[in-house]
Amino acid sequence: MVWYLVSYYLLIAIGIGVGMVRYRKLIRSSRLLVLLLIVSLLTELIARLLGNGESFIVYTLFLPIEYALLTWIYTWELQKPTLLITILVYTLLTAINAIFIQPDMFNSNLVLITQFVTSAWALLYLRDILRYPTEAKFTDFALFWASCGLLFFNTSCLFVYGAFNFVDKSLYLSIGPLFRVIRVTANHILYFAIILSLLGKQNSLRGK
Amino acid sequence: MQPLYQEVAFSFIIASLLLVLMVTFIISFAFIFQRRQARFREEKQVLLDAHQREILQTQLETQNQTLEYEGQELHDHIGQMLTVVLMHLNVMDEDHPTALLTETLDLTNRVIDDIRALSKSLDGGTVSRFGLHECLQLELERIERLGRCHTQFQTVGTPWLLGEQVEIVLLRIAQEVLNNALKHAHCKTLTLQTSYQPSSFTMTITDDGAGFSVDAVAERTASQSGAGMTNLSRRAALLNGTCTVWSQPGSGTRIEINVPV
Repeated sequence: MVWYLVSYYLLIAIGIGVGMVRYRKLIRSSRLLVLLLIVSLLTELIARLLGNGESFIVYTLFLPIEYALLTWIYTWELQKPTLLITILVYTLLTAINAIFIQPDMFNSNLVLITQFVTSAWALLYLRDILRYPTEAKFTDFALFWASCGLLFFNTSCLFVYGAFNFVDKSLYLSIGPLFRVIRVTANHILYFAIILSLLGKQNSLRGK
Repeated sequence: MQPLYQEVAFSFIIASLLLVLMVTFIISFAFIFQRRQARFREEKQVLLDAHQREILQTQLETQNQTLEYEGQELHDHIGQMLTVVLMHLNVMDEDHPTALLTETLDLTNRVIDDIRALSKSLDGGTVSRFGLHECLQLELERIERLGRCHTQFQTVGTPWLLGEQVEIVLLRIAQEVLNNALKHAHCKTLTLQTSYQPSSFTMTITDDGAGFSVDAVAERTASQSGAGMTNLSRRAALLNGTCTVWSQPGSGTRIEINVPV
């Protein structure tokens, strides 16, 4: 197993550990982040077990779960229950994409949609922090670091995941290694940001 | 199945949309930040104003207490002593009447009257007992008795009570303006006009004295000028009112205090 995968799994495991230890002190959105970490770790391990050939099926199943969890997290914080409707639409799109558009390859279209929409949720959250009447620092808000990490991950990996199949087939030797470095770094930063969120103060837009 | 080039095209579309979204949010963040800053500055100014008001209020209360104390001392101590002097002079006048003694008796009587008037003028309680209108009249009578200038009192509208605190502040403003006129203007006539309107009270004090350049006084540094004019404005501001000064060298001075009701 390559070094970055070890540190990657380790980072997720640390995140889960921190989440478990501080579980009682965490607000609901942070608890959902812990659940997201658990699902991520399980997905990565199963994908690893199945090998490269079959792993895209695991990711296809993981994507709606990841999207649902992230949407649930931000719905709870932003107090906009209507956001939950997008989960249904997203699930429908997953089915259409997996059956008709990208049946036997990595679901890059859905990853792109996830990145776009979750970036919007994160930006809405940051906007609401800015509007929130409080003396507290931005970093005291539970999802601040996680949102920054998510935005960083989404923007830096937009082409990495968006053009995944194209690069894999046509440009693997030239761009592939660079894309892998970007992907690994962005993943590390994202999970590190989530750990920071779990360790920090647990202020919420709901008034805690 | 989707051709691979379409995947790249879709990536570019989403990237562009995300870029637009980011820029939109950055602009909205800038606006929110700017609004927050403006609100913060406003709140700071309100706090600063409240703080200044509190300081001024405290200063006025302290000044009022000091003046009341001095008025009481004048009335109870010096006034009583002068009454004893008057009694002795009366006894002397009965035993050995002379013209000088009679003149001294008259003078002592005038001093006692002046001290009583001054004591009333300094006592803030006089305002609560008799009201601002009466106190201003007493103040002008006191100045008239000094014989340095002629005074006039005019009232427009029917006087009503403005509230004890407001009336004390207004009386102190009037006293300061009148004293300034006596000290610096060397005027022949002093006119005090009060105007009781449904929505405001206006007090105008006019003298025909030396006058001064309002701009020159405003440009003076703190060490060059007294705090008189600034104090007037600050006291008027304490009542949410305004203080306007019109003056020119050689043309007298007119000071108007306007307080909303």
